[in-house]
Amino acid sequence: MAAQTTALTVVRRFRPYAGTRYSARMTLGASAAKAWKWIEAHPPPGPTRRDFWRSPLRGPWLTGVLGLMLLGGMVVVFLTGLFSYAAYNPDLPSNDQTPDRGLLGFYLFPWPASPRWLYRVNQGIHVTLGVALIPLLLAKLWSVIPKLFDWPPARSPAQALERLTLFLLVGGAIFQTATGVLNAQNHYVFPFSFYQAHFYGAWVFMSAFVLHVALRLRRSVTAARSRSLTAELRVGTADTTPEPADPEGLVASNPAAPTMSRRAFFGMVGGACLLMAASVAGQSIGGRLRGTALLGPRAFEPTGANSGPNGFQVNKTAQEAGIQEQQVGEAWRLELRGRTPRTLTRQDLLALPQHTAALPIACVEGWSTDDQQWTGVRLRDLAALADVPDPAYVFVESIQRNGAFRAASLRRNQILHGDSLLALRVNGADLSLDHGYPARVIVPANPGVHNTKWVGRMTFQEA
Amino acid sequence: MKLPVYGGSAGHLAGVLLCLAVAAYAGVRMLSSAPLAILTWFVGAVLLHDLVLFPAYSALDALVRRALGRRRTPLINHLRVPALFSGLLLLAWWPLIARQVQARRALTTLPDEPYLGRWLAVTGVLFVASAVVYVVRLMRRRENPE
Repeated sequence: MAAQTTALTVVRRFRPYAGTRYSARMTLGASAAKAWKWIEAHPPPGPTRRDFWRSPLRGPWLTGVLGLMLLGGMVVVFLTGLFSYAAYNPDLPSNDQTPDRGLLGFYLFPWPASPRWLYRVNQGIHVTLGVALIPLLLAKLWSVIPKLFDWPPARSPAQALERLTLFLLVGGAIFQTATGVLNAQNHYVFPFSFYQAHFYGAWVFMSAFVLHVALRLRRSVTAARSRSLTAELRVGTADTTPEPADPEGLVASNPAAPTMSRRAFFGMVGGACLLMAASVAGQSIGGRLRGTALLGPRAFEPTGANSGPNGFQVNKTAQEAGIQEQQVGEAWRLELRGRTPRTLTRQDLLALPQHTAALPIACVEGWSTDDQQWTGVRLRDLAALADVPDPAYVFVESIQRNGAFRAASLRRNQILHGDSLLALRVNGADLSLDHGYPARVIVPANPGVHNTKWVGRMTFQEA
Repeated sequence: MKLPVYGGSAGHLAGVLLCLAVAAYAGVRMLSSAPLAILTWFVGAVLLHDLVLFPAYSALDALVRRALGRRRTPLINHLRVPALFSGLLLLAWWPLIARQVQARRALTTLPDEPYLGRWLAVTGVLFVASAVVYVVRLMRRRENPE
């Protein structure tokens, strides 16, 4: 005991609080802070070290310019996507693939029935631009990837939370692109509903996108203004120098010699974007340019039974839909429900006043057909026949057994439009079976799946 | 003005919370059916890029750079550009090119056999065009030695 007291006295000369409870807490705290500082200053070997990243092109200017370009593109893709959902008139019966949308449907509005190419242009832009942005997105990710390996991973709760939102941003962007591109080629390898995943995924992405822009826009604009783009585009590889060191840590601390100028970098990324756009644009623009979409899912015209007057894109064949021959033969009837229910044969329909309209078919997958000449009975005439001249909507049901769009509703403005038809013939010939024989709906500016094929029953709802 | 403990401004905190609130609102609905699958795909999307695609193309690029060594007229970009273009087309349209879409005929009546040939042809054209530009560069260098 005496020896211990002596030892403590000696130690206390150098460490005044040695042995006390205060000392223990202080030592723990001081040790932790020291350990943290050591960890901060000693990243493990590999990408967490600043000098791992050798490209002399990285820097706030490059990231800023790429980011501003991506900003414009993403906003257009998002808005066209929102419009696409609105085009489905999700408030009407059987139209909504995401009925629990809640507040996320705040912007919805009645989709117009003109101009006839409205959905065609909207969806063409959405898919073509989405595909075209892939190289730009990858370039942006390349320019900031050193930040993924930032050391230490989080300096504060603010930084940790921001990194979480960046995970939503990057994950969202790639998830949306991947699900969209897979859906566009009918490759349904994902075990979930495309509409549900893609609609809500867009909002997850956009929430993180808005925050990211709010936090970074000023910095990006300042960085982008720090040198002239046109001046930089005149700089060759030999004269390419790293950007001035930045506090964010994007600029390489140990840059290698440049193998590519920034001009070449932008040329490469820009060229890739144009090429990606060209791989699909033709199948949306149509006409003579359809063949230019060499790798587009709809780069070919149908053949066989769907040729000549019926030679335009098919979405879901009669066989796939479970249509049987006897269903569409002499026994087929169109049932009209309203104030006066009626049953009509195909002959009855052909005897009614016919109207011909030039209308395209445009799919959510981004492709569309050119205007086809559809002949049939006006929807508003059918409404009048059912004694509902002023309908709120019509619920159209197909006789097909399979398919998520066996039934769809059309709104008043769509029913009353002079070019909205129950088509019986197209381009001067009877509809082929795959195109909806004996009768299909065709409405201007309508998403393709709402132009119901093999119609069996139409229920007009009074306003 | 940074908040203590948080490490960011009040605006930063408000923004982050708003973002997470909207993301949670949409996320809950997104995950209402097949939650594990959607989460796997979402997280997988990030991991596939950050830990597979990016390291793969970076390593390949470094390998080619080392193999080519130093030249008076660098060849690397004449390989990078056509390889990137061809690779991106393959990445986006892989299911068609590799004929993976089982339901294609039933849904579209269209063929998928031609896609591989088309992609190979596009790749060929890209590399040939790149080679032509390189040869022109070499010839110019020879005419005007600096």
